[in-house]
Amino acid sequence: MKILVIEDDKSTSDYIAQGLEQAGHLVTVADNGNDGLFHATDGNFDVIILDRMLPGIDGIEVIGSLRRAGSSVPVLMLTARAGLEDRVEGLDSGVDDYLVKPFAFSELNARINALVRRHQPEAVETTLCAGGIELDRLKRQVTRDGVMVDLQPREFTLLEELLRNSGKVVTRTMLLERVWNFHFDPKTNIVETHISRLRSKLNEQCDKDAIITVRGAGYMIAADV
Amino acid sequence: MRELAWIYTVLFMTATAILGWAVYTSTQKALDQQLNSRISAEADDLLTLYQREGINGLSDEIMRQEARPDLNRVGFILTDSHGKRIAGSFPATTPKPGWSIVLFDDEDEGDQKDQARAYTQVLSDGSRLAIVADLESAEAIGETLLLQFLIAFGAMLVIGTGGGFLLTLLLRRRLDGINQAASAIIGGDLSKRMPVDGSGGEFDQLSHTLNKMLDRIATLMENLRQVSGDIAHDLRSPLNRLRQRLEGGLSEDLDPAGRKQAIEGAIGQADDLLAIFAALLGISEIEGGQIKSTFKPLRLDRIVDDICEAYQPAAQDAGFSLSCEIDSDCTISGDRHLLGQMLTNLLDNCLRHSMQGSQIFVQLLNKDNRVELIVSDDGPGIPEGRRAEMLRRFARMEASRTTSGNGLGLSLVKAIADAHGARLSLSDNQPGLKVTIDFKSSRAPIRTISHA
Repeated sequence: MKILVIEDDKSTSDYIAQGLEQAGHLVTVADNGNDGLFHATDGNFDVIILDRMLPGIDGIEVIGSLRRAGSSVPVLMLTARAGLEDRVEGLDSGVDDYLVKPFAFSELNARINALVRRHQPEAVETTLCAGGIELDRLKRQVTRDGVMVDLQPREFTLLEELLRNSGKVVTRTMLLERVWNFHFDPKTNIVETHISRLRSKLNEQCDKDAIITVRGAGYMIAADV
Repeated sequence: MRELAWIYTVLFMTATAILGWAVYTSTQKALDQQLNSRISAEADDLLTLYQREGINGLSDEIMRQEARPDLNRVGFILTDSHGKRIAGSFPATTPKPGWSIVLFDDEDEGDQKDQARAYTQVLSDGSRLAIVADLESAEAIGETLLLQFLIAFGAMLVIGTGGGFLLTLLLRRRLDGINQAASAIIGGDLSKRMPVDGSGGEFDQLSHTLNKMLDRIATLMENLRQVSGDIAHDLRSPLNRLRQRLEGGLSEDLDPAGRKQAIEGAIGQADDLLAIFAALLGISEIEGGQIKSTFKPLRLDRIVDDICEAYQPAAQDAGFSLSCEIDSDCTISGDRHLLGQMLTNLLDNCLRHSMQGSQIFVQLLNKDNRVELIVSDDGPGIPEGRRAEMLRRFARMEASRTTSGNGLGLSLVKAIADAHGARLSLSDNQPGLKVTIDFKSSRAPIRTISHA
């Protein structure tokens, strides 16, 4: 993928660029808002990683200009502040996702993958399938290898989120945000216990573990090849 | 202040002087007119008499009038065509015809010539009749008026100036008190307060308001002092542990797996430290109060319900019993993320500090115009004397020093409750801890049914 990183702090942009290049992406770095906007409107990027605070024009203005210019490229905003107001402002201005600094690289990577996937024009699929699991959004039914699995509503949403990102890691924070709408980090292992229940329900009739735990990163359902 | 008193006095005196002058001149004019009309009336009467009865009749009438004891009478001079006086005893020479002012010798006032107003008419036989009125009484009234006015003016000058300066003095004394207190505060004495005399007047109210403001500032300053001290103290140990871990990772006799483990451990500790900073920043942002501008009416019952549901499996797996009793339609004004965080912090605390098998009870009560959120457990609780202290940053009970956690959970809960104008209280659940958060409910606009 072609990724544009607009970040004025050199050590942060190096860290991001290095990680993304290792993951096989093509990275362009801009260290201020004007250059960033120039690249963003000029180049054909799959994702833009945008810092909130920038010299010259700041992140909110960059995204504003970009959206006004008709670009719909997915944008992930980075911020140093855990501020709620910041998040609201960012999402209002057309940012697709939000990540508070400091972050683990695995978190950034997972969010980029999810952003790109979410952005691809997907025919509104009524069923999601992976690893022998089939989820019917309309009937709200789940089967594994053809056998009906009975899930609680929250477990259904959790599985839906994992299936939508099948083949990619979904982090704990992403699940907290998307399944529970929690933009904070409870000390109690809510995600873990829900995953464990979901997993045992899915694995009831099957030896193969449906959900892969990626240590230090998150959870994944393997995609069908 | 003094200038103001001066300006006020001068303005007031000028206004009084203008008023006095106006009264004086109009009185003089009125008296003058009165005198003239008396003379005219007298002249008319006498001329009529002269036409009827001739010069003899006129002189008789004049003598008759002069004989009458009337203090306020007019004087007469009647002379023949040669200037010889026929009648009238007014002590002056015959004036020229028409209106004039004559000087005469007044017996009462010695040698001084006095002024009088005269009207002189030449009669058909060449003799002259003059009717004269002493101006003394008009002058006396004028003088009295002037004197009275000057006395009043003087009194006003004294009272006005004196009062002005007294007022200045009083105001200055009050302001000096406030000024001194402010200077002392600027100088660093934050315990100083504005003087209050209990009179309940405007200055007292001002002092009272300023004192409340100072109390608030002092509390914030104290918090700040305490927090910076606590941060320094409480961050030293995790930093120390991080350092030790990294030092251990450098050791020569570690295999790659051990080194990886050491680095991972160090990252974990750095993450804990970052979480502490994030929590501290979060608390100070909430305490800053700006977030309040984004508050919207929301259904607290739905938030509580979602969180209870989210915590149910984790509580069960950890061997707790979590029960929730939620009234419907609990609308308050707030931020759903903050409120969610508040309840999760409370539940995290229950799960972390209570023994397995404990009962956790979440209640959301919809009272008249209040909404009460109660989270209680039957764990170890907090002794009464230490409850207030537990709301401070980094406050932890001795027993929980060794468990995970940073002592910021309850202070975040307190900050969120405060931001929502809710009252937070900790009480004894016998046994255990009971946390009550009392919100003011906000009635969402009730849908009205319109009748077409």
